[in-house]
Amino acid sequence: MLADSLLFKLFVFPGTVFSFIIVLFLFWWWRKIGASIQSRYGPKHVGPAGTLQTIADVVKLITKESIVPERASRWFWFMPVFSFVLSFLFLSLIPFSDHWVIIDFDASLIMLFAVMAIEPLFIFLVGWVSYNKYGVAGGERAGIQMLAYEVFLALTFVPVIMLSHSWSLVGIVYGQGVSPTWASPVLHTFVDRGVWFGLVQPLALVLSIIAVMMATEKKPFNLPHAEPEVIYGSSTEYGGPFYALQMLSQFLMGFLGAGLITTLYLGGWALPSVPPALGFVLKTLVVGTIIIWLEHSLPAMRVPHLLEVAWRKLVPLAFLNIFITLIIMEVLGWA
Amino acid sequence: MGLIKPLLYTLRELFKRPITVKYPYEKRDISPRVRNIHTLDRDTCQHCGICARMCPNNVLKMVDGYPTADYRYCSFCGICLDACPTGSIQMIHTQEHNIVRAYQKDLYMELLSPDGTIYNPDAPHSEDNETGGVL
Repeated sequence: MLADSLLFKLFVFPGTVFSFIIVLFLFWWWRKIGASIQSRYGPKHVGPAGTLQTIADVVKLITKESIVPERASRWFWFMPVFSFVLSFLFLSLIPFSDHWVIIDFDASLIMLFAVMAIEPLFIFLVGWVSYNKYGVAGGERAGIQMLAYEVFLALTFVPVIMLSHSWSLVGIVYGQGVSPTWASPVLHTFVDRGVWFGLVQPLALVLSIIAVMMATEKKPFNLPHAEPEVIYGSSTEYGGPFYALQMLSQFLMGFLGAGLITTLYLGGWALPSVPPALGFVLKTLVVGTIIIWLEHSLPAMRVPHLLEVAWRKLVPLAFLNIFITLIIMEVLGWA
Repeated sequence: MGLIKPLLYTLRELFKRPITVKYPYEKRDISPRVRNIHTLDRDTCQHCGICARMCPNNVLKMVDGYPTADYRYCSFCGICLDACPTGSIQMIHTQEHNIVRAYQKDLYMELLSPDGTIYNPDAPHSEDNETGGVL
């Protein structure tokens, strides 16, 4: 059947077509929420409530000329594409439901972790090949930021694996007591049927949201492309269609980061009386909205400040979370 | 705690109405004392020149018997309104008229008619920016 084939998954849902649509929606949503917080209207002229504004922007960006810096490397064109492809690799690992997942195997969490670790390298290379000091500075900052969040992100994954006995993302969702149609977030059925891990370890949920905001360069942690300091970081020299590509991959990563949180802590696709994949998207959008809200509320940090918070506060908290989870498992007799 | 406060603040702002005024579609009420650019009723003007004499910045000059204004120097004080014995000079009470021009010399212009139109659109302008054009 067509809808079951890998090609359909790759190119329609949850692959290319869906990700383009969700990114266009998310960009619009991001602008609207940001505008509301700042007492503005946001986009409102193109289409109903400005929903087509992002499409208009993409069309405008695609028709613009791409200017290559004189001394840029010949890899100038390819690096943003690689970084975009990487975000699609991330997409292929996220389970929209136990059916709508492109790749799932025994260690997909480790694979996903590896993809997240490689991504800053490509951000750095994007800056490097464009022969721009701001690009290099932004890329270096992306690397520094990666070192900051990767450790405690990995440590917050550990209790999830302990609780679900699985390294696979689908297995982790199953470990939260989720059958394709039903989830039980109620605590008295805790041990029998499982529970969303966000309820067992709220600390890890908070830490993961922080880590995802660092990984996707959201506002308090937007050092790699902080406009007042490093113009647009590694993408400074990229204009026109490549800027559109950068924004696309950035917002896709934002969506997938929220999707990762949904998968690990909020029961994945489980939402009563809603089709699984739709439930996943809705939950992810709620998480994404929370991230957008945080992004528009908090002031940006300095590099040393970021490192200090990450290494001195968040890493010990992640260790503490492991011990708390161990105690909870012992008390509740979690197998 | 210091982290919670901005979050609550922005959450509150999120559900408030925007303060933006969608300008071309809706307009804010302007103060009754707003003074925009002058209008001149040529039917009642007595050519007395009191407005030109009272003008503190020498903005108004009598040309061909009617006052003309050099908007480079006008401070929109409204003294000419008070000085005019017949009330021929008025100031437009809207926010619609702006006096942005491409060249400085174009800021030296005839006063508009009371309905906001130009009396003499073909009036020649001087090339001399310092003294303004002669209408």
